[in-house]
Amino acid sequence: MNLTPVDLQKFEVLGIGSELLEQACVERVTDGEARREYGVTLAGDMSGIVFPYFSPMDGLRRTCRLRRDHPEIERGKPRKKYVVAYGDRRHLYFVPGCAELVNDHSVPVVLVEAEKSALALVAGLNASSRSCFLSQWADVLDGGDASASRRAPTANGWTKQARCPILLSAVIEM
Amino acid sequence: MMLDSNADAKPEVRSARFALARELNHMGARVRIATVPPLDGVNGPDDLIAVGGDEAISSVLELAQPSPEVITAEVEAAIGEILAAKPNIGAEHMRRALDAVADVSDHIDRTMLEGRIAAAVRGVVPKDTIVREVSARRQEREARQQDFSSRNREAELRAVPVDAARLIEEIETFFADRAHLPEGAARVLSYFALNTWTFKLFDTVPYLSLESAVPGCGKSTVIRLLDALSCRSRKASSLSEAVMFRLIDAEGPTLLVDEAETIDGRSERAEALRAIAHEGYKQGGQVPRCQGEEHDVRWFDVYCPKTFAAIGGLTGALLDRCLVIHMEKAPKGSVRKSTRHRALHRDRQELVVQLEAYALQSSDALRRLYEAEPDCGYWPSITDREAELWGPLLIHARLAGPDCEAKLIAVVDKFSEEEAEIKSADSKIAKTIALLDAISTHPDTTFTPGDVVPTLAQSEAWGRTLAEVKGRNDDSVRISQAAKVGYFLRNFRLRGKKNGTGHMAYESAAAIACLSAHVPQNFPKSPKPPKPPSQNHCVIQLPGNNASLVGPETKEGFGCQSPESGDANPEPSDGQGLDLLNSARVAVAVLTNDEDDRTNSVMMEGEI
Repeated sequence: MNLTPVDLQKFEVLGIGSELLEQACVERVTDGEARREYGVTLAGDMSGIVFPYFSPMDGLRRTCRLRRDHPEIERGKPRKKYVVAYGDRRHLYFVPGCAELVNDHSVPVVLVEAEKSALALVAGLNASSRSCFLSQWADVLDGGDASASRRAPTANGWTKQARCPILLSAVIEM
Repeated sequence: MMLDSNADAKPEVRSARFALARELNHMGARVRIATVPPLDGVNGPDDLIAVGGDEAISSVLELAQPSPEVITAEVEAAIGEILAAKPNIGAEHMRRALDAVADVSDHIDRTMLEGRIAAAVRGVVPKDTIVREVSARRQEREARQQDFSSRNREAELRAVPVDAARLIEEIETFFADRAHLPEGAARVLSYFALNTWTFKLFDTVPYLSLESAVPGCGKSTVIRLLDALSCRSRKASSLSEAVMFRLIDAEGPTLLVDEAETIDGRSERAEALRAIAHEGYKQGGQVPRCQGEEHDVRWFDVYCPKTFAAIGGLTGALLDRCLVIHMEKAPKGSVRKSTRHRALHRDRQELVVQLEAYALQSSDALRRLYEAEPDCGYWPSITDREAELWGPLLIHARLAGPDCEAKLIAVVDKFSEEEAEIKSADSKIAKTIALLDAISTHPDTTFTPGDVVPTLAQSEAWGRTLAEVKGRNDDSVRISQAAKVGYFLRNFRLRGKKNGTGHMAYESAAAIACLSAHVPQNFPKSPKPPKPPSQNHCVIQLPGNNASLVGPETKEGFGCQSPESGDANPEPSDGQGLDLLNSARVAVAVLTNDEDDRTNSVMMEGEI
């Protein structure tokens, strides 16, 4: 892991430790690495922090999202701060360690808008708070019988049918 | 689905969330919307974890609600399950249906769905039970939301930077810019407003009396300003006894009573209000009242900060619990900032946030400082009731820094002196002072009430009372006048003896010592009484042995301090002491500092 101490500190504020970052393969890339390794070939400086997207099915990297260090500033606001590989479409981001959970219908799924939120949520729910969280959510979810009507949603299903641009998820183990 | 806090504000995100919720629901998922609160510096759940920690995010998840777009479908599904399971309806079926109905926010929809569930379980569960269960679930949810909101607010306030000294200055300026106040009053008001946010940390809370001789001096303006800055302020100009104790018990407000002249009246209502106010300045102050059809006795908490604005001010015990601000008309042409509602609402915002943040951030430090206060107090010169009233405010000042503390102590000195003067005008205290004066000038070592009537009749405090006495002839008038004085003396529990004529006679020295303890300290216009025997030197070495006679302890108050202890009137009084000394009935011999009295002292030693 090549994240700088400043990067690590920023993640630490959100409760995301270096171990989790390592599992998620979050890394810092130069402009050249971003273009060469991840196919992020837009105009401008593409150096920054990259969040790789791994498939929970086969563990292979599907895509990534890059948080640029030096986005263009337009009317005082950063533009194209987060970028993806050229021509890519949207994907779901699964946090590390959720591969064995995605087929379990009793596992609650939390949908959030960003990779950092997903990682922070997983990191933040420590043993005590997780039990508290789950005790409340058990009511909601304990009816999760594996009947035919409760199919596990798939990434394709969500993205195609809901036409929703904000599909990033964290999967929480019960 | 836990989207960012701005999700509701963006139509495209909102519609996307709706589409996703509908889609997931169609697939059989039970969708809940968790709302990230729009706090300062919080957008996504990651920011919320950074600001509020794991607990905050857990609360957000706990409070997740079903998507409004799909909630009806959920209830329908739950009812469908009940109907399918009939007649073997399980508790689990009911629980799911009730939970789903409790999530419906629209009252009419909810009532209809309750009816549908009741119809589905007819003969098994009565409709009343369903309504009650749904209501209980909603209440529990609302309580959780309330708790969550307050925790969020707390996290926000903890992040607000607060400089106590600067805050005090700003509040002082807030008052000084908007009201014509006597010197130092803006500072007192500043600390009073500050203390309303933390008064529960202390054992006592000072009241505030805003008084003026005539209307139009700005009392109501100050009440409005206090209303703007005080914690849970409640402004009222007409209060019933029941409203007062129930309101205080329920809310622990800062009670701002305008037009408080009625409280000082003699009506039953005024007495009841006064009794509550007398009780409510100390932590744990409660009043008992019967409640309900069974007349159960319930104790109502009446401890809270209170402000009374009255023309002519307050009197008696209530005055004794107040910091008094005597207001006067503003000079013509003086310009002050607007106190209109909108202007105040605008100007108070930032200060109130600062006050809230101060209360939250400083409460531990204030508590520690208060608990560490030595028995003699941080400020030994401020004692008794004054210490009770000013103590909490001085604790704030001490926490804010030595500069603030010094400034407030200067104000305390000034206000204490003024308050003593105001109290001296109070009829009972004024009568006590006049009586003290009369006893002091009485030549004998004992006196009867009748002996002091001629002197008292000349005084302002007693003149009218004694002049109003009627009788068949002069003798009966004199007897009635003496009885008036006698009744008044009874308040002090003085022990007298009947003299040869059958009248009750009291020892002058004992009476002076007792009455002195009942008039305000530092009273600026107090008459100079003779020094009672105990107030000079208390120890006499007896010739022939090393034994000593120790006189009664020096009492605090009116003229009782020795010159060495910093008496405001150290000069010897007008020779009354000599009369006392020469009397064989004085129990303890006394040496004085005065050269002229030395001979008498020797004589006394010889007599002993």
